[in-house]
Amino acid sequence: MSETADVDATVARIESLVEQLGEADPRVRQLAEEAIRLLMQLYGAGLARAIEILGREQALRLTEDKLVGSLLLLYGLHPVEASERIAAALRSVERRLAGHRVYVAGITEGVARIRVEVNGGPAPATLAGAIERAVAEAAPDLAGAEIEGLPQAATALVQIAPAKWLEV
Amino acid sequence: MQQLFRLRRFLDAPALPPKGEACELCGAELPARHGHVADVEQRRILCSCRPCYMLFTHPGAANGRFRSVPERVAQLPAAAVDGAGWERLEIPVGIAFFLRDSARKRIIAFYPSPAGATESGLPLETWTELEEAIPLLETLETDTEAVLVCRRREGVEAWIVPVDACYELVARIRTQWRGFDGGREAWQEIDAFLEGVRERAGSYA
Repeated sequence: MSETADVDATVARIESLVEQLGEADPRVRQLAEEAIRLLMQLYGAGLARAIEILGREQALRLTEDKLVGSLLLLYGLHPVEASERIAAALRSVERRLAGHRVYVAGITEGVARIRVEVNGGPAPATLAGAIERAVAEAAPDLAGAEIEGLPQAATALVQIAPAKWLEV
Repeated sequence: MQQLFRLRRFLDAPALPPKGEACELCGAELPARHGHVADVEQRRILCSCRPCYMLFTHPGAANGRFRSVPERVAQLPAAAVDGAGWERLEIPVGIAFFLRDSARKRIIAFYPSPAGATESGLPLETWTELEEAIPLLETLETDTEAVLVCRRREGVEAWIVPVDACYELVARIRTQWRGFDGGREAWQEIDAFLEGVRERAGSYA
């Protein structure tokens, strides 16, 4: 979707510009970040008022738009709870699975605990990645996801380096 | 779209504390109330800390390039001002300031305008006549003090003021000045400024 690409490219461009200012002069970078913060706050305040005026029902309609929904998440204004958002995202993951169940067991200290119930054949190796992506997209305001109930082999794939290397 | 949330870090950052002004000569942090030093060569006013200010109170310091701007505000005696023929100074818009320019060795007149201060030379003999009528004018410091003249229907008022005060006035009315005579907003700004000048003149009297 080109719209999605534009948002990501814009964010990358903003970060790169701030970075370049920092290389020229660290103080300038601070000033630029402050200007961005104030501007974002201003828009956030406007968005908050708009949501208040619309009321929950109308605000829910706004969340159907990907960009608006993401902006509401960014400002912590999304009318749907994180657990509900994740549940909806997991349902679409589930639809691609043959009989396995995936659901939110709870949210602990900003981490979504996702439970997988394997029924019938083995779960696909890509499932953990798919769940993590779904959670990150539905709830970028959370720190991440912890997956329970997948066979060890599947989760081991996520590990990049043996823990021993990191201890050196 | 996922990258959008990266902008969160800007929102979460603590507000930047406002940075105080710094001395333009040595970089030391400055209190809101501080003195100024005139860079005579560049014709600029520099914010300065007390030690730097003291350094350039001597006329010969830095070969005369930097001069501390005095703080006095002295009202010129009304009777002398009325009789001294200010109309010959041809102040077109009712307010102007005059200063003794060392580089050009003459008196320069400044008038406010939307583009900032418009300057024009003044025949030196006219000034000499004024000095004869008002002896206080002879004490006018070169480059760092100015004579501020305001001519209204009620009469003429004039003061010796620090030159940085004139720069402040120019900055204040630059954004307000409309048309030839400035307009109501500009004059409200000027009146507020003059009120401050009168107050300071009072405390020096």
